[in-house]
Amino acid sequence: MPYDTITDLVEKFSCELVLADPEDSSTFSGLLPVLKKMHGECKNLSLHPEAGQVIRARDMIAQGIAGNDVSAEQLIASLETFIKELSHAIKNAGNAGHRSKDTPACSMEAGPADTTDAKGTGAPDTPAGETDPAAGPGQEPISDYHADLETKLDELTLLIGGFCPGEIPVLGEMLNTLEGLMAGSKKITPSLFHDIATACRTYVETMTLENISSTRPVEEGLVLLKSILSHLKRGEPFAFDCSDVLELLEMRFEQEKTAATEPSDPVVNETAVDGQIADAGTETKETPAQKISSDDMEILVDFISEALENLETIEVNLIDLEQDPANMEIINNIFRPFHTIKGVSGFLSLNKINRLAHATENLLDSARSGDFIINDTATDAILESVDTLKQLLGRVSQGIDTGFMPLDDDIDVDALRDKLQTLQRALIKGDKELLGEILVKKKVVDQTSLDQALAIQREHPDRKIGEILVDTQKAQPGQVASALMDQVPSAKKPDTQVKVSTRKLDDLVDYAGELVIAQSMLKQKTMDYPLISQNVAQLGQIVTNMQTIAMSMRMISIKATFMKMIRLVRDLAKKSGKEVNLTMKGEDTEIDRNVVDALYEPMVHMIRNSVDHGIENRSDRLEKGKSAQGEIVLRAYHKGGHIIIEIEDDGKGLDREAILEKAKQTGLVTGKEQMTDAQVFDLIMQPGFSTAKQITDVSGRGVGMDVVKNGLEKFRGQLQIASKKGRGTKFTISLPLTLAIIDGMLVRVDEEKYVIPTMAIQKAFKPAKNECYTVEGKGEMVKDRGNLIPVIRLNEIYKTGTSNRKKPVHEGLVVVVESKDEKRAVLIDELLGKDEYVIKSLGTHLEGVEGLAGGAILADGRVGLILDVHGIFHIFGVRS
Amino acid sequence: MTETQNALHQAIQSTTLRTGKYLTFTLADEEYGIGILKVKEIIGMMAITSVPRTPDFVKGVINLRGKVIPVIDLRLKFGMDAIPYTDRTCIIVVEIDAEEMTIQIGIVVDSVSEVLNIKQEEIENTPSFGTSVNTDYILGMAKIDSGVKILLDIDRVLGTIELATLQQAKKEKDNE
Repeated sequence: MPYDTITDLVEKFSCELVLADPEDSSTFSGLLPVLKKMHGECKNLSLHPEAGQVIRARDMIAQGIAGNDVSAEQLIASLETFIKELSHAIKNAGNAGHRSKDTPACSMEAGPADTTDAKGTGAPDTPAGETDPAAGPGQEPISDYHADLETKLDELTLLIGGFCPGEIPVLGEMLNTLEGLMAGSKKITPSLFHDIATACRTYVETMTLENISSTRPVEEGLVLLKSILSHLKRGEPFAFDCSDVLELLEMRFEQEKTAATEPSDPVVNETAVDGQIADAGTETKETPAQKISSDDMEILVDFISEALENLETIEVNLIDLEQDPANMEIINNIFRPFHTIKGVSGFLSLNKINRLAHATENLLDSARSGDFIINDTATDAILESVDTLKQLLGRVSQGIDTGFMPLDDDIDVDALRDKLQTLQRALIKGDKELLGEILVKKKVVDQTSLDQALAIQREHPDRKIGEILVDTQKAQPGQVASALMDQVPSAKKPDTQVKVSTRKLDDLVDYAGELVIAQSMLKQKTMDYPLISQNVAQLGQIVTNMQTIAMSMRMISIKATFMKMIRLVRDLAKKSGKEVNLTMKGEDTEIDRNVVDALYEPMVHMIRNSVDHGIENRSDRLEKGKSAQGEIVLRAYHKGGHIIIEIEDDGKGLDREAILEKAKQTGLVTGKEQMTDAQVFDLIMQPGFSTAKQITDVSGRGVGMDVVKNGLEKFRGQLQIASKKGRGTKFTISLPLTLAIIDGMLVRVDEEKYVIPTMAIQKAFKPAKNECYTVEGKGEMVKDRGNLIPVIRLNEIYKTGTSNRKKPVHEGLVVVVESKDEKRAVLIDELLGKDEYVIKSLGTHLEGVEGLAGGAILADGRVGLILDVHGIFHIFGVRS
Repeated sequence: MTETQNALHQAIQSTTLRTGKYLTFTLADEEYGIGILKVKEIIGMMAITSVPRTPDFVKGVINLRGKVIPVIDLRLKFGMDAIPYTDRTCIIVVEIDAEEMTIQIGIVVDSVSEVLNIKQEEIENTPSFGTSVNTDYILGMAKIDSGVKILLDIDRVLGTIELATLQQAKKEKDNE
């Protein structure tokens, strides 16, 4: 059936177009593979003008993605025209093709019949009548009214696309078109098409009457109608779950109507629809593993990576939502990824993913429209759904590896879906926060006057609590109004985001830095010209703002990573039956995103360790006089040019003796050494070392800590363990921030300028002559508050000194720096100032130079060297 | 031919043949050439921040419009005597191919002369000087009317820096 594939592709394209998000150019790139297939198909059918059209459309999209002077709305509009024209052209070509062929009817009918047979489906309810092979003469009118339906659907698409809330005439047109659809689809069996069209119309009616502005349910319905139509045309049974869409469409007015009556209708309706499609559904499920075509493969790979990313966003946001359940922005952030997953999985025929995502989305949608507030049960259910989706995606990616669609019969989504739906209904019944309570919370009225007002309300049930309060002069109308606003929190539109390559960001940061320098030079030169200098000052303001933004783009806060840990702790604690509370400190600490990635795995390992081995059972804790709830504290801060992450628990701590015993058994130590606590604790980072008596599925296989250590060492990071038996354990990760911004002191030594990270600096002072000491006439020291601190001469260890005269210590300044609890005093000539610097790599050739953390562009445009304090200590240590 | 075609043509030529355009410069009394496609830009002398614990010929780093790039003195690299920098002294910024990306390095030369079109037949293979001169990084010698130009394979010249830096660091350690 030559034209079916192309018609199908056209369908698919227009469906995706409807879903396309004008603010997200990536949705357009999703259209490209379809266009590619279309082009191939056109060529196969020797539809050359059409193939040309496809190419033009592709160019349009390419330009749109590149952001070249085409707005997304324009692009969508022109693509819609394109697809409409194309579908007409193909239809005409198709009809012409059939007429020219000798046995058009046979070729038409043999196709679908064959495919259904091949799939081994009994096809008990294959749409009879219109696609019946015997109905040869009836062929023309049927395809005619298919075409009619299609035109109407296209019209509707355009109407919805151009719809703005409150445009009653457009709604009227929509109603007309939908009625046309209903009339045209009466004859089609099964009546699914008709049902959905009816549901859409009812919804649009409700929209008109009740001033609802969301067109989403109709859009869903439309997409569904289009795919049903394309299935009808091919004579295949429609095996796509549509109960969700129907529900969505009906939910709205059911909700309004069932205020008084029992909400039994939707349930009945749902089961009816379920039953209807159940047969068709099982047919497809039982088909043997399908081979994935190479085109699909591409889309699938994209889909999976995107979906996994989306799921991560969802998890992070869900945790946020737990803290702030009424925040519309967060709900939106959770809703949108589900919507995307649902949309794409639908077209990829990933039925289970689609259905589950849809059910979750519905739940969130109700929450979004303020029907209820998401509670813990709902969060749990959504998390469960996220996990199941991950599982399903895992299957699909297995499938990509093998090239065959995997079977996922063992993963049950229906139970979860039911759960979500029940939950949704249960929650909708529950009330919003009461107005009176809001007013009390806001201290507008006190509890007694509220009780009085409630008493009045009981006598006059038709009066609203707000009115009563205003009438009795307990509250101002304005206050009540603002409380009402609070009751239904308004949805804030979240920022949209764009993906940008890090290289571009780096360049932007570089140029912004240059701009600042160029601007300051301009400022100096124009100081004497008041007219210009005013403009230059303005320019300076803009440049500074720009630089700040450019800088901040590379950095991300560690919050997202910490949030993931909350999720982890939550799950682990539940699994092990312990009560654990996670506190975060310094989660706004900014680090380069590469470093964030490096941190994730080690943190997971250590958190697992803490929950599983560290925190004791409830009874054990109470016995030891600790609170029943275990505490884990996550801390992040910058120190000495490093980012420090601390994971501290108040559990049982490390058992020095047990570790030594185990180490003796495995032959790591002989038992005769004198070892400090730190040395003993370091033993647990040896490969294969574990003291856990019980192996759980969480941790305890002894492959934890050495993995952590290796992972960190790859990023030149370090791990320290401090612990007190019975009191708790503290893991300290330190990672260098190669690209981070640091606070630094600019100092001068002879002619050289260096930046010393402020975090490493303890103090700077000018030593008096009697505070300086030498050992054997060489080793120099200064006394600071009774402590003797060795002096480092930078010009000596760097051999930059030009003059032979060794300047006495008391003639210069010393900066006391600390690294790993060691202190040294660096002798300098002058302190030039303190500023923020972006650490820049000195390039691959000079990266390994010891004692230097990198370079920084100074205010005069020169490069300053940032000192690596620990490295300097090392050089100094080797020398002395 | 359009500009892109031209560039492409050049690129193909330079990889297959030695024919092409060369930027020539002087070091002491010798004339050298670098394939023009390797040259990113030529800048005048600017403040160089020296980096300790590196070989002599690594002059340090400069700020090239916000990028920190290393600068080497080709005189010192080739073992010639250092001379004070004049207003003729230039830094040629070249792009060399590292493992995964191209990196920029500045090279200090006495003066930049001109861009020459050198044909394959004008280029002679490097004669052997025994062990006294390392000819690994010389592409060939171009004989043209104005004299002999030594054509450098700049990737190789600068590819040895990293090694030298490491050796230097090791030496420093051993000394200490």
